[in-house]
Amino acid sequence: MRTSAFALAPVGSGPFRFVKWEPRQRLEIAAVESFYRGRPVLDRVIWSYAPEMSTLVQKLFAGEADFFDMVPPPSVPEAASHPDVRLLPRGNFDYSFLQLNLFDGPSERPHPLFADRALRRALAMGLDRRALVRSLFDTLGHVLAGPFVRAQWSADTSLAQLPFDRAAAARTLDSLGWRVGPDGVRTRGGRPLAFRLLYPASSTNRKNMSVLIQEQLRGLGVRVELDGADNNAFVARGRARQYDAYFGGLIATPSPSGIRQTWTSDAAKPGGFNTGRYLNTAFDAQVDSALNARDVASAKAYYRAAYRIINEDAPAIWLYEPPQVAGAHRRLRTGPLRADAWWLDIPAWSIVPGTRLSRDSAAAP
Amino acid sequence: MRRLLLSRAAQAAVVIALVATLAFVLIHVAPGDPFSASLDDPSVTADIRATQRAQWGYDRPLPQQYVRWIANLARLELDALELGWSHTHARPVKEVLARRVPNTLLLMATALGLGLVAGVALGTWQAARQGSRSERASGALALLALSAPEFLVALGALGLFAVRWRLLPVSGMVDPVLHDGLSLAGRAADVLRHLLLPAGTLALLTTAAVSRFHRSAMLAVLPEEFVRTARAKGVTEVAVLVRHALRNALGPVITIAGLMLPALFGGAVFVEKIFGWPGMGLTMVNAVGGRDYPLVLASVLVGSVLVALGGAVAEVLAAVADPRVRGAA
Repeated sequence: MRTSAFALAPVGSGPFRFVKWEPRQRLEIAAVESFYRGRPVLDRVIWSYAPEMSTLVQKLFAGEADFFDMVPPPSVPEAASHPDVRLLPRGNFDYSFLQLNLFDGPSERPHPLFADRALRRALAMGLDRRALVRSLFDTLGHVLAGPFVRAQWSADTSLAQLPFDRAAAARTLDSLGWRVGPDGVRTRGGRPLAFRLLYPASSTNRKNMSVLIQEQLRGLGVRVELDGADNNAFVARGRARQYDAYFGGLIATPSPSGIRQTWTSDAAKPGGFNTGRYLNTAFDAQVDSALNARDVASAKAYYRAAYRIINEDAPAIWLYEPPQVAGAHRRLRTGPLRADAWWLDIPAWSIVPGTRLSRDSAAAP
Repeated sequence: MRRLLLSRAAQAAVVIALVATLAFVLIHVAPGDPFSASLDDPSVTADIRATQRAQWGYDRPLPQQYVRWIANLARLELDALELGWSHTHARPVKEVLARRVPNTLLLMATALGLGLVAGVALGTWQAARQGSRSERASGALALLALSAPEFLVALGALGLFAVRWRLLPVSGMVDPVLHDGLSLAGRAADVLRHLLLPAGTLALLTTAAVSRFHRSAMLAVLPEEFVRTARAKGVTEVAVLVRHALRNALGPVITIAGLMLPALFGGAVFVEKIFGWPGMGLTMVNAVGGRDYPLVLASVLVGSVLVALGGAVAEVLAAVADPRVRGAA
């Protein structure tokens, strides 16, 4: 489909018609005069591409672009104080987590550390996730409350979380026999409490947070060896289950039913997303019940029960929903931005009267 | 001269074949493939990815894939030349290259042209004023430009000229809104405006390098007897420098210019990225990241050919400028 002529010059029945697409350069659409729900206010909309995030932001600041859907967090303060730019926070479906491999690499042997539920819970309790997210995104990020994002209708941020309690985490590790050695690292039977954390080196967020996690767990007597890999190697090793802990990131589906492809036993089969092989039939049953529920209230209750089970089992440490902040030039009038499709209301966007530029009058080819 | 050209062409063909083979092996043994990039999307199942791999023949043994690739390349008629399908651009590789290679050539030719002219002028001027305060100051500035990372120079230029003073556009090769509606002259001016910052950045770095080499070459030539003779005959100082010394000092600069082509090709990646210039460097980096095998290999081929051509042209020019080189060949 991707290679067909139709995909390169699509024809649709929406408020805009396709004009031009130059991969990695620009995409242009123009208003359909005879659209049955009325002509869009804007004549043309052009997506302009730049490979460098900082360059894209500068296009917005310099007035060369009117809208940027993803202002990177480091540029948010500058954008907030820019006289021509207003910021528009928006929801999204991305989430990041630390997946723990419950098996010893790709083998069928239990993982020497993470097969132990109590140890996994202790690690989760030893991390101050709020501080981690605050360090990385200031007030813009959100701590993840489970394998779901706030934009999904099943989201329940009131769900009980494993609390940050370093003393309790330390006690648990002590009780499991992991004693602090002279070098500050816990050991049991001569084996240090140490694991490798695989992260994509191309992701600044994940790289920085890996360092923070390493530091926080060091205080608990856990040695984390950081293992940055190029994106393809990262994905290949994740798929092959060649890791202890994997700094994963997923784009959830707008429907919570996508959890079946990510965290259930079904998804633990080769090629599935549940590469850490979290297997819990009670969790699977709740997800199945949610998928087959006849009304929203019961589905929500089943999802809540499923989330509670997986949170208690801690097969992963839920970290954050990255912030998504759009930036718009003040001359552009937009409506609210939907989490699943910020562009959906573009037909209603307009330019504030008296602020039109010469380029606004350029006709579509 | 003919023998020189033939010998260089044969050498270049061998080098290109080796580089292409090495690139083929390296990109295929690197982890991942063109379909592993979509792995964050739960809707793309393992079965779908396996089907895609089989459809494109990436599940076959590596030697078999290599033979297929060579066989496609070996169709010597240009129209039938099969470079494959670019997965990251969703277009034939030929089409991607046809759009991107001219952009890179424009950027490189402008940068190299400006850099050579300015570098030779600066080097000549420095040699003529050897030991003066202005020569030392300009030498220090050239060294500073040479030492500065190119992405820093690019970001600085962008911050000043595009964002603070808004004299030039931030990025891209054309104005995405206005370009198509402009006259031919207007379009050329539009491209020129977008070209100034990236080409200027690269030219600045080229100028710095060339000026240092050329200054040294000029200083070696100026004490020569033929220069002293010209001065004794009453030839003006400008004529001595330009007509007599310059041509004899050009050899090293021409050689350096040829050697700079690969560096410029690679160095242009940063500049292309920061200024959003749709050239080959950036295309190649993106293709490597996306494991777009056909595009990576075609880009390596084109890059090798350009570099080999650049080297050959430099050798021919050096031979034209200096008869001793011709004799040696």
